[in-house]
Amino acid sequence: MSPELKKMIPRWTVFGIIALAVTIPLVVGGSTRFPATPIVRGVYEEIEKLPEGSPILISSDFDPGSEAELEPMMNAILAHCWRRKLRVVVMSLCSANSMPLAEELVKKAAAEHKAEYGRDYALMKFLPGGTAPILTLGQSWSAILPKDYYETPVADLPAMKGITKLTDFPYMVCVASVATPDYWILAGNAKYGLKMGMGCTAVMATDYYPYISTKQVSGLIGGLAGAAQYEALVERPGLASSKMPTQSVVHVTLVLLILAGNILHFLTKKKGSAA
Amino acid sequence: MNTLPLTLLAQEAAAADPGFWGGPGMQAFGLWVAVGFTLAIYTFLYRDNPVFKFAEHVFVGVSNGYLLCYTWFTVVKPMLVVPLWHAIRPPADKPLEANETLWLLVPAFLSLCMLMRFVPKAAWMSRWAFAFMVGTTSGVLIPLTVQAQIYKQLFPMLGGFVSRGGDTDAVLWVASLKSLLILIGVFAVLTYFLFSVEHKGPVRVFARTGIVFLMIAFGASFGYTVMARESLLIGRVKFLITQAGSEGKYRTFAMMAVVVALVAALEMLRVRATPPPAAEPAPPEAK
Repeated sequence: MSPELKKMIPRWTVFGIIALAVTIPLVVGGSTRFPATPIVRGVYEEIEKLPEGSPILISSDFDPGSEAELEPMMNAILAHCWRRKLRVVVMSLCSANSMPLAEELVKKAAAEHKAEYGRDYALMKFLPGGTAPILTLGQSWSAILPKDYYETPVADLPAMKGITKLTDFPYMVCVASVATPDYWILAGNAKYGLKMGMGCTAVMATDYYPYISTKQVSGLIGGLAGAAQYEALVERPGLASSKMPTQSVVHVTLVLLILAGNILHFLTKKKGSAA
Repeated sequence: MNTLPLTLLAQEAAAADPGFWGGPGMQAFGLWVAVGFTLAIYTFLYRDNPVFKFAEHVFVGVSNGYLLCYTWFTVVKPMLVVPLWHAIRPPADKPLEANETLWLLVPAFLSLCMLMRFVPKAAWMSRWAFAFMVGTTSGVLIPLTVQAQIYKQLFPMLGGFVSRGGDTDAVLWVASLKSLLILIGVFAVLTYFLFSVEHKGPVRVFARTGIVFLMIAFGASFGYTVMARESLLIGRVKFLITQAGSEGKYRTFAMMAVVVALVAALEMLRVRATPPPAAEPAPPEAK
């Protein structure tokens, strides 16, 4: 056996173990119900407080690379909003290809919940410029978004009734895989006092925890685990709940692999020093 | 690898010509491509190889091409080009509104300045655009950052860490303990980064506590990162599993055979083309 192959075998063993840990639970199926943490509950409770027919803004700031993680979260939030009969307005500050993705996800969810475009929800265009469009929306919505995603004047959309500026939304949720929650916190919350919650990829979650203790953000849905908790809150097990058993198995496998790696490392070190 | 840009392209082509592009044949072809490219990307786990390189380059090319076209048609054209064109040749129904769009010449000029980076002799012009951006962004964001990220973050700590609540205004012990922990953590981490005082005695103990807090924060952050990557892997594997059964026409197994055969064939060619290692020169004889 060549030394190169000898070197590769431990790597392949790890890949093989992880592949099995991912595949077997997915083939077996099933879903897990996760009790929601107070941090995730923060978003749920704010949406619960909104009276029927209230508008809610969702900033869909993720692109296809994070779809696997954020699609379940988006689905659960939309399901909650339409169950509460809220008027959902979706926009994006992320990138030009985030709105086509948002359109696809929202339309799919709308068909499931029998939500009608224009009446129950509206899609806006992607706005480039980070904080600048938020600052302008805070003064006048129609200044930069006079028309929706399909070029219909927003004044003609019942879902946009009574919306003249950003603060006409009693609550907003930013679902992001990039730094757009920072823009919303700085320009939306700090400047205009917009009440907000957020959902983000697990990588980003720890960066936003400090905003929860200061109540700048009412709640945070972090990664697939957060999405599964939100699905449990809205009593609608979906994609996240079905993926969580796999995630748990992979977690345990990884912990065992880390432990095995450390034990082997110390044993080898001991042998080396003894020789 | 996420094949959504390819899917979106296929959907738009289908919308343009539903007869051909929207047919079940093209949709099935899209799924074959998606399965094949996903598996091709995972061949990197074996080693860097031409199949992986091909998939990587196609993905980067398609994604960038798609994003470029989409940015042109949804941002640059409707927000800059069309309003400016209307300012030059006002439409009959909105002459006044068209005149108001002339201010767009300023961002248009600054955008062109930024593109001057590609012309070495005129690259200095890009500094105007950068200077404008840095100046306006600082002006707008510094006060907001101070308010949102310094003042509002400090306020809960300065307001005392004993939390009270309920009807009797009783002390909430868990919440108070959390606040105390945050307070100790902030001071300990700040002490660790205090380099003007020698870290010995009580300062050393406090700085060491700071390291513990930092390590916990890094660990939590790393744990979340691993979880995020796992979620993406689970998403892809779930897609492959749906395409592995009879409903997915056994695409995963078929494409797996094709990809493995391709990688194996190319690897054999690589091994044959690699010259054998040169024999080590004999050590010089001792005199």
